[in-house]
Amino acid sequence: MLTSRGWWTIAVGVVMCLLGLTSLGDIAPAIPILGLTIVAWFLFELTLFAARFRRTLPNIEVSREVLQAGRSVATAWAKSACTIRVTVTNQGPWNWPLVFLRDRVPEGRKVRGGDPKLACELRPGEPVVIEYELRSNSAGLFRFEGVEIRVSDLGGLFYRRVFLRAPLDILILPPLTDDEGKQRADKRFNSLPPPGLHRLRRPGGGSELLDLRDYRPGDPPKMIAWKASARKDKLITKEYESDVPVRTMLFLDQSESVRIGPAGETPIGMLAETASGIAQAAAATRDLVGLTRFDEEKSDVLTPARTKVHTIRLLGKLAEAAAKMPNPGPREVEELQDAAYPLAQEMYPELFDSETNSRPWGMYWLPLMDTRWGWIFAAPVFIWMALIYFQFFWVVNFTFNVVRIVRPRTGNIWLDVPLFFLTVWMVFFLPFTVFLLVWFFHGIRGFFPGRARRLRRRKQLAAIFVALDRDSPGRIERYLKDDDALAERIGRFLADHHVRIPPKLYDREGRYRYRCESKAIVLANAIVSSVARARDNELYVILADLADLGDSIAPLMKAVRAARSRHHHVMVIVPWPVDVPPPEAAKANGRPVAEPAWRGNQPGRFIHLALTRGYQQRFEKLRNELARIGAVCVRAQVDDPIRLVLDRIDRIRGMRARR
Amino acid sequence: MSDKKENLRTYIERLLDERVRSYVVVVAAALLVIFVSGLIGGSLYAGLIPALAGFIGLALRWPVMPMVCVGATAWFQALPFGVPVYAPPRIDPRFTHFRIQDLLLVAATMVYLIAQYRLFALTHRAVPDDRLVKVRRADAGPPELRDADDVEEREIPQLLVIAAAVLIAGQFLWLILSETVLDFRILPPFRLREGDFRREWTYVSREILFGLGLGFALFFGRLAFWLWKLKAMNRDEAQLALADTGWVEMRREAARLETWRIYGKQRGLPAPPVVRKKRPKPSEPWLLAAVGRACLTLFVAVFIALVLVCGGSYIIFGLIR
Repeated sequence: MLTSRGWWTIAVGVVMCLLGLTSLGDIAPAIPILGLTIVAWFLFELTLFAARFRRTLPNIEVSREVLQAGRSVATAWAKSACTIRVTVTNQGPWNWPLVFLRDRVPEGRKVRGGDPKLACELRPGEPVVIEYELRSNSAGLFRFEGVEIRVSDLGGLFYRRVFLRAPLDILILPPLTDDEGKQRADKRFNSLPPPGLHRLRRPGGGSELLDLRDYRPGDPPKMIAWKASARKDKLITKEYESDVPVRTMLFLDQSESVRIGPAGETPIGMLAETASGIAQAAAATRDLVGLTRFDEEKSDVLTPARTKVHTIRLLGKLAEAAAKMPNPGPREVEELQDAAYPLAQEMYPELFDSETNSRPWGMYWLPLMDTRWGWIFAAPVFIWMALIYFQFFWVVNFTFNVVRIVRPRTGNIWLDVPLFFLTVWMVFFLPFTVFLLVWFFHGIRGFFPGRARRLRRRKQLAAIFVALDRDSPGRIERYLKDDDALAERIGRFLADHHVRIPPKLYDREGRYRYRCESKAIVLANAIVSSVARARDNELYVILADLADLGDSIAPLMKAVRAARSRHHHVMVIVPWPVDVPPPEAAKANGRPVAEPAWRGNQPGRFIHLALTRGYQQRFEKLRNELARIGAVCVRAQVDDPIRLVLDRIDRIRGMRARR
Repeated sequence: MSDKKENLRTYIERLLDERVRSYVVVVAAALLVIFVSGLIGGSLYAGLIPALAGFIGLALRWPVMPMVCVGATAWFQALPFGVPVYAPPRIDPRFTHFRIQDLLLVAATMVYLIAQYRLFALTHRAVPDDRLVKVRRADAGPPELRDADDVEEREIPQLLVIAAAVLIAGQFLWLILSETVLDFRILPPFRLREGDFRREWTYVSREILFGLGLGFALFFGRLAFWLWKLKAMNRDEAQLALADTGWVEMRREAARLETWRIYGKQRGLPAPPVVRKKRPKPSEPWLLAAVGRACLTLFVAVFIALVLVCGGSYIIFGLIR
């Protein structure tokens, strides 16, 4: 609570009092008077600050609004800036004269405008507003934790930091790609096409007139436009719109493999954006779009529909998927602790108070007998004690015989006598001495700075987790002893607060940890159940990271083959890593381009080349296998998947019309 | 270098800000009074050095200088020329209460101290660095300052009132401490000082009284705020206090249990798999290997054929014979 300025002030004041109250005060009475005045002023300021702090803290209220296009929203759109407005109000009777407010910006996001920090005075009943702008490039989530408040007195002698937690999750929906998404007005947009323009440009058996054309033999007579025929003096036939929609089913991969990456730039964000584009474009032509989200364990289905509400719901599902956090996997508890401790300190400062989160000295002592090898040193003590009890004279005889041999001899009686008794002591109590020395040096190691700091932090975190989980006190000790339990809880803590820590991509055996083979089976089952529910020829768009699956893709191939046998169309969109060039970029005129020679002193470059080449080869293999069974495989960032999917929808519609 | 100049320019601009300027004037006036007060004491150094320390602190934003100024003021009160050239006479404490020169000096020092600290909050640093949090906050940026627009007109009068109040409080405390003597032969163990002040060891009783008074004030203040804090605890804090108390009581037993639990858990775990290095298979058959395999196969086949032929011949010819 005291700043260094405060410590210096009170130290100088007390020293002046202590010196001045001696006989020095009789010589220079100004010294004790000055000291007493400083102490009195300090105590007055301290009392005032503490009373203000305690009285006002429970009465601080925080409210938050997210504004987009001037309106308060519960979900925001990606690729357009949104304004965050935080209002802090002091509802108490006293003011805080100097306050520094800082809204905690969602993890991994950058402020585009404004300032999330503010220095001000918090007066009773007068709200203070912080405003700043955020922008997300892809679908996901904004996680707002709350507002940090640092309170100080005007002189900077005292200081407190509190964090007012007001967690709020704002879903970031993928951007609207149609005309409505580009408008900037509160008025609802008329999305009906103007007269003469048609959304569904394919002729069919609908009721809306599409076009007039020359009569062809075989056209039904009821389709002849008699007035137009009379006017042109030749037979003209009416064509109607095709109002049979194409059902498109999107399969979105939300497994661990696509969640890796910095916030807002994950593969799943890109896939969700692609899926959103497809869904909106298909909905604009009144086609039905459904969504199946799958991961390594399960899948959930949003049945196809074409209403606007359905599209928004679908976008919400995409945003939820894009907001999922990767599981950091089994990690060293030290690494997790290093990530979680500053976060906890920032967000739960009041729970680090040594009065409520104690660190007793005994905690640092390492008990010898808790080890398995401690008995090696304890057993001789018991054996020696038994010998002393049962064979005392033998022990004494043995001791003196040993002492007679080993005692140091200097020739000086004044040294020899004490050395003799010291040797007797050493030999007689040797097991005790050894045990005590081992016990002491083993135990005292717990107080060494590195170990003590780690243990202190671990204890503090463990106690905070227990308090947050409303768990039993014994759990604290479990977190102190059990690395796995603590690592699991820290992982959950970080995930709850949407903090990403760099995942370990490879395990100890060098295997890629995020292959997620089981998702192929889940996806295959989802496709088969979609085929079972299908009413007509449908388009299945699989947005998934399949390049790393290798031979585990067999169930998926089987399901795709089943879909193709029912005349459904299948397209696969694979997220393409940003730092991997596409395979065709590595070729010129069909021949591989010579790459710069790799030298032995560039292991990083060699690994990068090997990984790149491996990924390209796996993708080529996947594309060939899919092409063999009639499915198309495209890349999310390199090709233009939305256009390809829409072309495919048109093809399906045309095929139906022709039939 | 340009950063330093920029900082200096910003600092000067801030000092000359309309609202900050009043604090600068107050600091300068207080230092001037300290200087005059030292001069009245009969020594140029007693006035000059504390005032100089104060002005240096103001000009260079050194946070330690207010304390140096206060320390120098006290030093030159005890030794007007800075060094013990002569022993000043002892003054009867009866004549030290509410003396004009003391009032002037202490009031000026307090006004200087309060105003200078507030000026630091406006120009140097308002809140200290939060070291542990800074680890996470990469964009810590420059030190945070109090906004000059928040300075109100009533602050200077309030400052003077506070200084006057604590000045009177200090004088009364000195009055109590200097005129009261601890005497454990009576109850309550206090009495007023009597007789010649040189004969009584009053300063021992002053020290004890000061220590007791400060101790009681801190103890009861701490107790009051501790109770207030307990009353205003949030749910997480209360849960943490209960859990922590429970843990302190059962720590040793729980530690032993957990140690053995971990031991049992580790014993129950399967042994880590032994990774054997596989011999890499050549992607294309090696010509020599293929020739070698063919030769080996031929050799084995020839050997078997020879054995069969020889054995068969031997048996057949034996039968014939």
